[in-house]
Amino acid sequence: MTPNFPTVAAPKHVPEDLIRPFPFIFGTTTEKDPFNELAAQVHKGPDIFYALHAYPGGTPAWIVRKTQDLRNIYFDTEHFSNKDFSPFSKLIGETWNNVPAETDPPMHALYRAFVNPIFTPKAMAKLEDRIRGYAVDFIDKFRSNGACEFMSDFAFEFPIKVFLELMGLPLERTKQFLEWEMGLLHNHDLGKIAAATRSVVDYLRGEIEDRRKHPTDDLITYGVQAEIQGRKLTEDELVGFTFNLFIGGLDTVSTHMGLQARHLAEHADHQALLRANPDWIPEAIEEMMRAYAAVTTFRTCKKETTIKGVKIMPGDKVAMSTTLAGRDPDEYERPNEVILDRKPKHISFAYGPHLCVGMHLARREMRIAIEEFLRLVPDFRIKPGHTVRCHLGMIEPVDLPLVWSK
Amino acid sequence: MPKITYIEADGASHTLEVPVGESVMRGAVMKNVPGILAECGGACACATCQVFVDAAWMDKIPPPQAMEASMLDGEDGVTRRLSCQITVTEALDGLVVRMPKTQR
Repeated sequence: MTPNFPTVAAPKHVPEDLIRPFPFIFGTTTEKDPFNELAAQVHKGPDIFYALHAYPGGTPAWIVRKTQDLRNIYFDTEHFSNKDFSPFSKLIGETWNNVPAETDPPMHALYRAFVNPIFTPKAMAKLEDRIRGYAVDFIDKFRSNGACEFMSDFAFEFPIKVFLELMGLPLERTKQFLEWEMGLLHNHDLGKIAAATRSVVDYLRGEIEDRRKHPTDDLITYGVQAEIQGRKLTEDELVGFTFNLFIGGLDTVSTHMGLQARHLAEHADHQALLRANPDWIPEAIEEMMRAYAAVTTFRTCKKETTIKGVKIMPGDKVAMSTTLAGRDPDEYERPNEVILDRKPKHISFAYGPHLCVGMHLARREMRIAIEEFLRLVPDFRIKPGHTVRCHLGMIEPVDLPLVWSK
Repeated sequence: MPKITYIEADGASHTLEVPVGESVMRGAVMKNVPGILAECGGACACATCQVFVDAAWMDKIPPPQAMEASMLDGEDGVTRRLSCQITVTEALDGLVVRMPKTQR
């Protein structure tokens, strides 16, 4: 599928031989293996190159494929800004930034200090039993069928249930939220991305207004009541905070759950190993997070610099592809092999000051999902004859039909 | 060079020389001492470099800034700190820190 991209010319400072094709384009799908085939192919090319359609909506970005270079950029807030790492706010003509993801020093530290307490390991540990209960509820609905469509029956709705509860948003609207989320993150049509953004922002504004009048103990109320440097958050900051929670909380855990379930379905030996040794699941998840990292975020250059001798100019976008980082042959021996006890130092939750603030919740959800799925469902595999198709950009199985003996 | 002793949850002890100006976290990570993950690389963003500082040393270490405190669950009177936020000085020669059972 080749979408109708905007016609873009590379700026003059981009050497022509560094303009290269790039497989991970937002809103496209493929039946190829995004990791063993597509990422491995990119790693045969230059350390850094320019892709004309890598930013959501089909505009250009630099691709940096090496983990160490990405680590440096994550820490280089002098040359790289987090502003506009997503297109959403600008697309609808608004001025908010995702808080804290799209903010820079010195404000970023203040925003992080405000968001951190919500997601500490200890705060998340308190949710363990409730999360486990939800996982069991979902699996119970299909386990006796001998089959499920893992994405829609489990991967999407399970983390959303936890998230909506934290946010204080109604569970009845799950389907609506999912539709908006697909519009935001798995689309290349700017009009559709804009329409989804508009719907989400209007909805969140209504909820913010509601919590001002009717405070509860949810995260939207937390935002409404919080103070930064002795003042309340502005309207833009509140929209940015709740929007950031929305895009961070709705999609990423589902995505990684799907990719991990696919691996286990295709590797009966790993499935058996983890079923017999559930204590190994946390380490196995770290290795699968390395090998099947889904998320790409962006930085915008704000001061001229060079990476590996290549000139990067203000305004240039740089793709921070954790998918590529996880398969970097200079960082990992035999990168395309999943070694469950590898204990990799991966950057799939990013690195540096913007490291995923929801990391401890995400890990807990992924661990509980695998623990309960392996405990309740016997040997499973992908439905015979089905070819898995994946969204690119954010890598995610479109659907994942699994079967097992009843 | 100041010596710092890192004690793992199972009791295994590592006494290392750490240069002045480095963080207590880097002192351990550079020598591959297990028990400190430091997943964000020292940006005070991940809370996976937690240590318990022996009480006798608390007055030699500046108290946590807002960012660090925001990840410590507001526990008062507890000696838990993020080791990336403790800078090694001559005054910390002999410091003992204990690693938690798990960082995640």
